[in-house]
Amino acid sequence: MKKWLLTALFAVAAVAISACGSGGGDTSEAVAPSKADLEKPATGTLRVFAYDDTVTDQQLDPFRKANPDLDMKIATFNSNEEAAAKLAGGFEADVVEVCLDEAGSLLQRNQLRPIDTKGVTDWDELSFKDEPGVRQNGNVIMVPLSSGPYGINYNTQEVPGGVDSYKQMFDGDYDGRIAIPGDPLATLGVAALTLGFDDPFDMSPDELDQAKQFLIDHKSQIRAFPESDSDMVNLFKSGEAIVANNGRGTNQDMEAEGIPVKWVAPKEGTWAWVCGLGITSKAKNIDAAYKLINYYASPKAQAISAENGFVITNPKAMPLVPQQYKETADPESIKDSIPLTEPSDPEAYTRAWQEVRTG
Amino acid sequence: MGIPTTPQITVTGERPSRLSRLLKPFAFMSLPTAVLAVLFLIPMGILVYFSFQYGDLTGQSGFTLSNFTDTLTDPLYREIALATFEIATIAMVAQLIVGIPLAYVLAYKAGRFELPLLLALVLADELNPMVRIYAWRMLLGREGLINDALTSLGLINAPIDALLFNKFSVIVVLSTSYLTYTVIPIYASMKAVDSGLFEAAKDMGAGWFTTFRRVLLPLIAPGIFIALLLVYVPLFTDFAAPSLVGGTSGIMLGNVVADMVLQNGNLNMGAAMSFLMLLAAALFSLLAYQLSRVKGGAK
Repeated sequence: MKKWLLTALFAVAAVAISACGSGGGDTSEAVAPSKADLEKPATGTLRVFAYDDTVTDQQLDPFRKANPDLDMKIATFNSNEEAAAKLAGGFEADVVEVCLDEAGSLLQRNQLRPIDTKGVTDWDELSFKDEPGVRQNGNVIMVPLSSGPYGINYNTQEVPGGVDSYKQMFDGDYDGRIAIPGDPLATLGVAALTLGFDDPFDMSPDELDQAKQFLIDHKSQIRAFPESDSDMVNLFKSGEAIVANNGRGTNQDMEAEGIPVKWVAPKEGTWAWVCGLGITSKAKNIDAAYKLINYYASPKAQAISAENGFVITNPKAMPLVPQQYKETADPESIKDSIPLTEPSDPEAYTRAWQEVRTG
Repeated sequence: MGIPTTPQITVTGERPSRLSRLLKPFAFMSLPTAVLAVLFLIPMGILVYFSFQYGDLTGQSGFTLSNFTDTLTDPLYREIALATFEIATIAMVAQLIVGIPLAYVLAYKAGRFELPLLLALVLADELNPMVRIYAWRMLLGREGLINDALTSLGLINAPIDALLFNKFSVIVVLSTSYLTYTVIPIYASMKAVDSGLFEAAKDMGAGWFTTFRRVLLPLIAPGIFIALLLVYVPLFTDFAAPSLVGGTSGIMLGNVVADMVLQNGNLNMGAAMSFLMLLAAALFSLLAYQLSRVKGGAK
């Protein structure tokens, strides 16, 4: 009896394991065909998997209103790596948000289907469409829809003179009051820019080692490595941090909370993330997926995105952007930023980041 | 109309068949067994399977031991494992130091407040772990209640930064996160101890410490063993506390596994690390069980 039970359990486990394996391995190189009639409302079910600040009600309500018979199922994640792991584990989605600095995990598992740019009305207008990573092997894998620069922000009451460079941030005046987002690219990227390296996201092993050592040597000046934007806001709110490497959007969130802060582009340079939407290799409702992508790229949706603090990618939306957001929303404002892309050896960055926290 | 007759019951005295006796326990156990298999054994099987695989789910995979050898021979992971052991052990000892007296008060001294206090202890555990961690940040932070109180009492001139964002704050948060699971098994084992034994020990000249060490401790050893199982093992895998209150040194084994899976997308290495932690936990549990048997006087 025992033997029978064990055999049955192993059989079930084997089926489950093979199901997991095939979840990631199933690929489709064919371009997702765009036959959607953009004038006609979408129907069926559309499963969207994205960062939570991309799929806010404010952003999605006009699309829902225009497509009343479309059943939208929204799920959120905290990183593309998490998204890739969940998709590999059997989670199903038609549209997934893709960020250029994290897309590797999705690509590695062939979870993205090439996009037919003819199906994206404003494709030719979009900024960042030629950034490295948008195309893989000649195929477009995501439509860039939002961006944002990373620089320095500081509490204007605590630091009345301001901070305009990473060198100044680490000069000792802000001992124990600095915050840097808790991920390998941000922490090592700040160190790389401070040390004067050209490309913080493609450092040589020697440069990576120097950046790691810099962070270890300056650890006492850093108060924390916050895990999320909201955690960063909390650090400023509670007075723990007064200077940080931060996104301009997060600075805007802090202002909305009543924290006296200012964002500046440091002398060493800024970097900018670029995110957009992609179609998954297992997408079922491709017509609705194209409709959603077109909606996000439309001037109307881009204007809403601008109000949320993002740099928009469709310049046609600029006339619709409220005056107070025009400067921050303009893609021209970050044209000199270093694109935040995935390093060629991400595991070396993760390891260096672990050594920083251990050292 | 005749008087209705009572149906006759015949007692045959026959015993249920051997087959029915054999199948009955399985019938009762089939659902729990199925639940256990689906929710525990299958995920465990998947974890073990991944830990012995190389590749990244793209189809290029195969058997390997390198996930284990790489983990065990890497000095960085050894250092993190030692730091994790140190933090988890101090947190566990702190919980026992607080938990045993608390369980004693609940079991023998609380009187009519016993049930309300027990409920309060359970309710305290219902608080969302994130909220609890942020509450600690409000207490220990630069502008937190403790620093504010010390400043307003004139005891310090500047806030003490060392209260938060370091190993100390991780230990404080972890020590309080699982207190309910430390106290309740110990409390349950104390309830089974006849308090008359303490009187007897006292009559024989034993002081409170001797009574605790030679009478109470051996009898509540099984409760302490359960508390260790419920608390010490999960402490090793925690990654929220080190991330949120650990500051620049907030790293434990749980964070390394999270980095492996969420940063590198390396499920195989993450699975191997989790499997090793599970093995260590099993060995530890075995050791604690043996100790509790010795302390408890079991043969």
